Amino acid sequence: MQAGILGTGIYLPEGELTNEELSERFGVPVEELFTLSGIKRRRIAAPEQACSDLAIAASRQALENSHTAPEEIGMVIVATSSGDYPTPATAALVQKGLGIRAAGCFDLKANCAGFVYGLMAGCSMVSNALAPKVLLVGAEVLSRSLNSTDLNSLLLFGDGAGAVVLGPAAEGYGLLASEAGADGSAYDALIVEAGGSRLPSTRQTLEQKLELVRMDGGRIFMFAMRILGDSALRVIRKAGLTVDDIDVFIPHQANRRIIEAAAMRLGLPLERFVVALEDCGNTSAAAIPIALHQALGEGRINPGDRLVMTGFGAGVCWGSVLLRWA
Amino acid sequence: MSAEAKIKQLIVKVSKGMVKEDMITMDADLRKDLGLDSLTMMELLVMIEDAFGISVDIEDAQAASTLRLTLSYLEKYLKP
Repeated sequence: MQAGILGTGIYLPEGELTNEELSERFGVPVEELFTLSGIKRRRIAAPEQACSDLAIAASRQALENSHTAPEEIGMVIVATSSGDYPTPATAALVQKGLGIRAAGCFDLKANCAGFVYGLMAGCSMVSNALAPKVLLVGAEVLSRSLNSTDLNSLLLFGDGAGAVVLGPAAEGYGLLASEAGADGSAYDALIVEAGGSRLPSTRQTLEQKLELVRMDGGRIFMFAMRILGDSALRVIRKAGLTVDDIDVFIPHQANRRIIEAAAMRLGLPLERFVVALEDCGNTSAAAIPIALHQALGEGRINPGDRLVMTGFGAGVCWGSVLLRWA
Repeated sequence: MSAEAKIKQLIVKVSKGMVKEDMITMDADLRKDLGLDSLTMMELLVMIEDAFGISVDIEDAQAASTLRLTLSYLEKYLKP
């Protein structure tokens, strides 16, 4: 049985961090900040909001748009690296918040590749009749893990959630191919070092700000530029297709410059790519579903279109899926 | 096509035409004189890797601020 996306929903917090504020704080011109990232503002969750709040709001919209009642959901998957608590899974709070009684739930941590991995897992569950429908949410409150003195990360990362309902698709539609990979030797290129079992939090780790994101921007940018095109090409070949058969590319929204560089490398016009980070920044696992939802709203995706979604990020890990839109 | 000519071509491409080929002298600084920012320098590195079929250490690339220095590290990677 084929499986695909039945409906989408998003939630973007109203709070924001603008380039004007960053310019004033760090003394870098506003134009330069936009040139480096393609981002004008990032959304910031309100103090009383946590990851599950964003996830629940996005999920309600996805359930409504897919005409899905909560009791039809067999599994709730939340892709996140900024869950409400270290334990339990944020998916449990989403299940509770939506009143989804019959579903199992788990969190999926693959950072910016999380949503694509979640699509693979969720579609597999539907295809193998393990769940009639799956609720998959990418949700992040990254703003609380950023170092207030690190412009590189403040410039890029924002909060948000994007949800999809996965269910049966007609033959030849839905998820047609996938590919994934990782290179754990680069685990420290983007890392939150303390607070886990390797280095539990202490007064010293807090003083050294090791519970906050540390990113080697150069290494991550180089990795992202290489992998975006390479992974997309692999999944296209796996499906027995060519680049010309793909109608829309929806890459992880890390930085506009990465997407532009990938388009150049693939020899494709930027117009074939969804670029949707100007107003919300890099929302990690939420980025692709937010971009998908916005592309649908703009009428960029039509029945029969072939889409390639590529996620890549901390780990480093990556994955691509090729879907035919029903 | 020589390596020098190829890299000049790539510099023009990565700058989206802002840099003209006759501006690229052996010792013109790619950032200070030709205006390539840090991200464009990394894009150039990936394009050089693709064009020559090599994988370059980012530290080598970051030290290559001119065409002359770029050709110098390239020679190292292309040595049989």
